[in-house]
Amino acid sequence: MTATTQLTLEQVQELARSPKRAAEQAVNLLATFQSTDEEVRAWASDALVAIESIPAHLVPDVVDATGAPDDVVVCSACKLLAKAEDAATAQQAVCDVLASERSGAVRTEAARALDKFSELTDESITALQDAAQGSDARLAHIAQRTLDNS
Amino acid sequence: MRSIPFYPMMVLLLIGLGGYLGCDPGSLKLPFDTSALTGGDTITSVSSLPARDGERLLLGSFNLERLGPSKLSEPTTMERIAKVIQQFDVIALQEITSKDQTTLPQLLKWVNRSGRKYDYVISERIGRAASGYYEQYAFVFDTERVNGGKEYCYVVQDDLDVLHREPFVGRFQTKGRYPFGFTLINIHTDPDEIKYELDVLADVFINVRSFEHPEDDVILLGDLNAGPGKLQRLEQIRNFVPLIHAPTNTRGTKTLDNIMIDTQSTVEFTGRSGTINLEEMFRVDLAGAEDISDHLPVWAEFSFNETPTSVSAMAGAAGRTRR
Repeated sequence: MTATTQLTLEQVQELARSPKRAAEQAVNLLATFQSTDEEVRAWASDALVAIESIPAHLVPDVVDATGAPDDVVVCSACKLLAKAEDAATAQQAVCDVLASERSGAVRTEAARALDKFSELTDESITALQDAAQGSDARLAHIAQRTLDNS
Repeated sequence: MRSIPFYPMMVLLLIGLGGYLGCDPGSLKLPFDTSALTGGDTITSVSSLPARDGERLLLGSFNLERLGPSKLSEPTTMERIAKVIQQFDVIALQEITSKDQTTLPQLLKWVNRSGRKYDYVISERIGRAASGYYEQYAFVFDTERVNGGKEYCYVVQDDLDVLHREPFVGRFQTKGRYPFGFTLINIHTDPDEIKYELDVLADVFINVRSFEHPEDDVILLGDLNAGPGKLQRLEQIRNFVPLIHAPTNTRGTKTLDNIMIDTQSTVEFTGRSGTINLEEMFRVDLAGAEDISDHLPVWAEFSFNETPTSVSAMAGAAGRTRR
């Protein structure tokens, strides 16, 4: 994985106003979610929202981030992968998060992210169906919503 | 604690509900004429905002773009935010992003420096742990002209977490001769989820209105992340219209913020609404305006007094009939 750097408040504020530069810094933005400063994390989230697509060469690093121990990093990585140019690889990674043993909140974000892909793979559909039948009401609701929308 | 299940997914939760602020009918007074809704006045200086007097009430909404420790440490920015707030009787604020709960008290110190008597109510911290941060909503109001308080506010409960930031509802009433009571729904949608959130907000509005009955002046305001024509089911509610049609981001490219009213119920609306151009108000460039926020404040003018919709022609009947 490429070495990453946590960004400063000023840097994330600048990226929040520059979607193209934010896309180039996507991996560092993900690292920034490990900051202990909530204001920094909020601005990092704004920068991520502003990104319209992430280039294919960054997808492997963002996929790696879905294995991070920090839930916020994983959720943010899933959101970013929904904007990846390499949709196939990206969707597989998000599907893996949904099918994993991670917390309900993380899996719910993965289900939300899958909703952003224009076409779902059979594996994603199966993972969503399993989630929609599960005992986590919030996850089940979002998974079913994603299935209904596909 | 009163709660009403109004939709399979949501239940309104009242936090410390106090009494409903009633309205005392009095002698007849003709309503203001409401001109055709244009939603497009852009105010470039404080002097051209509608005056707040015994006849007019000014409501607003302002996304403060991450009001937290870093903005609090910038005196010029805080002065300017305070100056904006001072133009309003009640203003709904979004994006208060700070663990430190002295943020709003510090802001109010700026607002009240010149002897003003504004107060505020603030929501709990709202959001999802998975996003890494939380936000708070607030209402700031001029206590010399408006009654309000935390006992009249609540956050909409959302058991299935379909809304990223559940709306904050607040009831207010003017201190006019015929007090105008109204309920505000303060909202900041998630731009990644508006496809779903706008439709859910339509249900929120309908059910808050039902819950607040007989109060029928329910106004939804805030950062919707969508403009007129793209508000989905919100715009399909009969007579429920967005008042703002001009761009509301500081760069002047998108309409994200709005104030929505039911034009049949809220006849107190005078027909005047718009945005405040921060660059021209403070004579700064775009960067200077973006230091304040990436959103412009939006405003709408209402009658300060409750407006009757019917007059009894029978001798001996009450002078004012409330809807």
